[in-house]
Amino acid sequence: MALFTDSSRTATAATPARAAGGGATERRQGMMYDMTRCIGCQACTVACKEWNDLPVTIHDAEMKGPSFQSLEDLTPSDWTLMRFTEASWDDAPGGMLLRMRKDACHHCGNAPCAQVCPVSAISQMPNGAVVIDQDLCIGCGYCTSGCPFNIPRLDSATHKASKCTLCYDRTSNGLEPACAKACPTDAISFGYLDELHQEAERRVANYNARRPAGTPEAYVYDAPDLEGLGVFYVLNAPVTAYDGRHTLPERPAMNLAISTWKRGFKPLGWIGILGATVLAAAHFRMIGAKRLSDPATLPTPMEPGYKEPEEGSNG
Amino acid sequence: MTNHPVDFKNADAILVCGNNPAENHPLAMRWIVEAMEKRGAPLIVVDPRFNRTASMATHFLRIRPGTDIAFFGGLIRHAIEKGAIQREYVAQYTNAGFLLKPEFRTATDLDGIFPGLTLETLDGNTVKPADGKAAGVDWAKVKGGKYDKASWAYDLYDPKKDAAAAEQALATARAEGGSSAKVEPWGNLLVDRTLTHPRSVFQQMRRHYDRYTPERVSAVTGAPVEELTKIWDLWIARTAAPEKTGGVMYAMGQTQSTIGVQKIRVITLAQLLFGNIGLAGGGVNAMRGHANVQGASDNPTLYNLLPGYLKPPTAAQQDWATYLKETTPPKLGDEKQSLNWWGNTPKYAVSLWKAWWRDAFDEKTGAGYEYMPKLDARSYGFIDLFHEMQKGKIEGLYLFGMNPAVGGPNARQIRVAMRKLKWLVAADLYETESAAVWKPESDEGVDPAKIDTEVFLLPAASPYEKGGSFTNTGRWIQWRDPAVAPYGDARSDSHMINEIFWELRELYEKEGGVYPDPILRLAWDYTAQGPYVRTAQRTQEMDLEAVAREINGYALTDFTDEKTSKTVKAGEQLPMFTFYRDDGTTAGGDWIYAGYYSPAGNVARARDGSFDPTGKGFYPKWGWSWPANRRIIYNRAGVDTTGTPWSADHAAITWDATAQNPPDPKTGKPVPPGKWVGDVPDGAGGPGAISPFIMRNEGVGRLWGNGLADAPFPEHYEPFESPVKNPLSSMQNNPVVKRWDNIEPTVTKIARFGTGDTEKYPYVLSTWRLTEHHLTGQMSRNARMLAQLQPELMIEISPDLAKIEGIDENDLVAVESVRGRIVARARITPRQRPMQVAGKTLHVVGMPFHWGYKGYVTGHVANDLLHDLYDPNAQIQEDKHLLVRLAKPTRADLDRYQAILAQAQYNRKSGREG
Repeated sequence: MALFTDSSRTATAATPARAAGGGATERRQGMMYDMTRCIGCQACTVACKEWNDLPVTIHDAEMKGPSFQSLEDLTPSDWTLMRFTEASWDDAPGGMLLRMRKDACHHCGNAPCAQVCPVSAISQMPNGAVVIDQDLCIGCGYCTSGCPFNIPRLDSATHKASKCTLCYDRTSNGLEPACAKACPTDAISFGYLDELHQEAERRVANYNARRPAGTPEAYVYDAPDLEGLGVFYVLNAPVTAYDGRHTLPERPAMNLAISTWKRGFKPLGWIGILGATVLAAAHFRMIGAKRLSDPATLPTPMEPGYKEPEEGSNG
Repeated sequence: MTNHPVDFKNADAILVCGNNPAENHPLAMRWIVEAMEKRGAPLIVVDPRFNRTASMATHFLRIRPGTDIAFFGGLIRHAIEKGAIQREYVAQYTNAGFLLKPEFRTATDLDGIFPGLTLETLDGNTVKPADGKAAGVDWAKVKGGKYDKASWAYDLYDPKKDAAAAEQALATARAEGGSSAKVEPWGNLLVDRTLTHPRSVFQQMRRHYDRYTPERVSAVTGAPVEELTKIWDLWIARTAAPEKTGGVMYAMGQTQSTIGVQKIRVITLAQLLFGNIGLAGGGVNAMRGHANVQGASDNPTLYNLLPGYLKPPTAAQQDWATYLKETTPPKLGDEKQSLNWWGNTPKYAVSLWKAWWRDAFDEKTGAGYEYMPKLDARSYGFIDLFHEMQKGKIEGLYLFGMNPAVGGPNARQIRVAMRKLKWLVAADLYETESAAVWKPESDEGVDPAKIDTEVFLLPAASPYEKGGSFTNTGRWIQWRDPAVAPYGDARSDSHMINEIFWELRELYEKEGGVYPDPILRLAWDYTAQGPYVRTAQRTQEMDLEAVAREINGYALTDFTDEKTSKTVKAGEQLPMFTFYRDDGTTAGGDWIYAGYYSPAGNVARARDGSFDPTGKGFYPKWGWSWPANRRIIYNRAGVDTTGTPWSADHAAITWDATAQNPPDPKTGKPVPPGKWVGDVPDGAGGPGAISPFIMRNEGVGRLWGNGLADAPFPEHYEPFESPVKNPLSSMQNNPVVKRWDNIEPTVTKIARFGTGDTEKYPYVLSTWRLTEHHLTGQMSRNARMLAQLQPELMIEISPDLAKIEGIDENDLVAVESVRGRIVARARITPRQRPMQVAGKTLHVVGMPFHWGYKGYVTGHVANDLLHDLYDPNAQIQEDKHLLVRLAKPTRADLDRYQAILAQAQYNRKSGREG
């Protein structure tokens, strides 16, 4: 479902209610995954593969579990998947929780993957979508290790990283992403992020007022430390209750190494370069250019007294 | 269904029992979510297994498979005990107050059976239960039974026929009723609206369900007493008051049982008692298992129905007059109040015969009646066909998008039977398991050299390559056009049928034959390009709009409708079924569809999703809903006799007493003010003019009914192959179950009356579906993305059972029933849990039925495990409860399994694009 207030369905320069997010230049768009409404039908998974024309590989005995889970993990050609969790929960109806979590790129406002990319192949589009430029990508894999959600996947054959694009080819043309379009229960909503957050608050309040006795409360899962997630959750189980093999960080943030590099060493590097330049200029001005001995007086290789220049010398 | 999926948003509570909308009707689920969000409606899931719907539920109750009648029977008893029924609704709009014949007895009186049962033993003798009770019968020797329903009848009051007898009946009834009852004649019936007369339906029902105490229901269902009463109390609190209503949804979890029809009846009883039928947000809602199943029963592809639910002629009905007399029910009850809509049967039957044979049928003499085949005493249901095939009596089979080799019950038996065919045509998108039934991978030991079946695989058009209409589960008919032309040589089904018809017709024309008239005189002018002309390619598609026009009905000659004074010219479309006539002036293929291709054109094309004047999601300009574009049927029951809704919040219709009406077109006299607003009301007239359940010949909802073969009040019987003795009576199984003892015992081991062999087969197996696959998997296991999402046949096992059997997650497990042995991947999940039934721990396992030996992913056929006993009314198989055992697969099991997986590997490598 798309949540739009503008009838024109185009992003306008309206004042963003929340942090604009690193490179977003327009009113930020995104998605809400409302897991209180999700029925785990996996239509989103199919729609994603269909629209993005992602290849399908079927292996024998691929069923992985738990529950209805068959895809084990994200791959270069599986950009989204449903993670099923079965948790024992004595007071809940049936004594258990069956929870689904749609896993895909969160399009962070300040995206760590973009920060770590050494060749600037990852950038934020005007509406906030974080996309990987396949032509620029060198397949170093920094984005995968930098991502707090472990999302981008490296193709071992093509040496390119890939992930959800927020269907930028659709959203930049006034359409909602394929997964949101396919969702039968509006568990996936696309729209302006500020409006989605209003809707999320409404839904959380509504769910908590009617939630089954003995079940956990719903809440919004976001990442203020990353200038807000472009794709955020409404979850109805504690983060720790979800499948242990693929836990969500309780408070997603930039990896310390990245922030140290970006905010510490990288600026220091610039200072170093700048300092070196200044020193060089000062040296040139105060001492002048480096003078070589008069070439006419130097022996040539054919003459006696000639010495091979040593490795590494600037002679 | 009485309501429609969008209408779930109007419910105060939703009871999901025997279906799984989150997995099988995801789009219906969005309206359930809306009711939960906007109205705080609880979602109650009653199921043997915690499924994806249960993940959303506010309440979940685990019951043993096949015990739904006990659950609802207990609810009925609980509600009556607490005085929680909607008394005014029940007294006015149901047959609760109608008096039954003195001879009638309930199953409480007769220990589980009803009066009139005659049994046939395996050695061919006829016996009657001693004292009419079930206890004294040696059921091991019984083959089947049949009810003589003479005592299943209302006490009639017919002074016109015999005034003295009528007065006597009235006097006797009054004397028996005591001081509280007030027996009055209502037409030819005797009614006590105080519902206290001991012979009234209500008191008999109360007596019948007296046994269904929470303790006994708990013993049957395996659900603890306190949980049962908690759910019953919640349902009563949310739906019993007049201003509240709730909807019950069901699907194959209820119906696929030897007591399937009675399970639905008991839901109807409960909903009538709470006054939940005829209101927005209420109803008894069948969630159909396929996009057009509703359409397939309205315009039936069934042997025992004609279009519009007319009855086909039987061999005993040798002439037209007898046929009409015997298929038109007599009116019961008040002359004016009881509409007895089926009294119009002659109009619909004449128009149907006229539509099919036009002038070759004469409604006055009945000439041409014989063109319609007549049913003999045998049944021609799904399984009958395969049994006849096995005996060599059926030579050929034409399958349109049908895959019985996977989808039928006791599927291995079906495959054995199919290999005896001389020819087999499969029109489908892919080579189905049925089309490949002769191949070695189909079963162990199959040698193609020894099978004489000639198989034709015809490429069929996919749903998006052909036009026509779908009728959804809410009776909405929606027309669509093909998106693309059929791929390659593929043809639509209608195209193939058109070709077959003309080919057949030509053969009959040329060669005569035993009885060519029904074909030669059939009015078949649907060919798109005008009259059918044979060409070299002979490819002519039908004009489906022409078929639609005929289904709707049209005038054969000019006539003027008496009621509206409207004149319809010859060839014009009929605006409504009230224009159908029995004088031969109209032709119509299906009276309930009259109006969907009206004089205004193809109304089923309508797509106005913004027009919703009531705000309740009726969308009257979206598609067209039979009958008469009515979105909630029996909506007159939603208002009291003054036209005031029981609840404005759930009103489908309301009487606006101030609305001015134009003068009568015929007489010119002024018409008093007053008009119905909202949905299209059932039947004509203002508030209280007619009884709301117009399709019943007594005009009211039936708490008691004599129309079914097995019970006038729904009674719990155990499944065949049950692990326990029936705690509610001595009658273990449905005594009139439909069974077959007359075929060679090759594969089938026919289940006998009694409990199952729990020594050998200790666990209950239930089969079901997954979101990711469609029916027998032909369309989904051949789509790579869906195949990837659920690649393997699985068996769901509880952690407790896994421990007992020593099974680990992802192990291969052999599953064996009396009839077969298959291999599946173990999925150990707490969604399955053992339950306590009759003091013993009972383990339930579950399997989806989508796998076969063709497609990108393959697996064993789960239906090989099922038996093929049928419900005696609808002839539906028992898929949801049978006994199995689990074992470690042997080398032979694994070899068979690998052989089937190899098929998928080949298909994936062969480069077909999914």
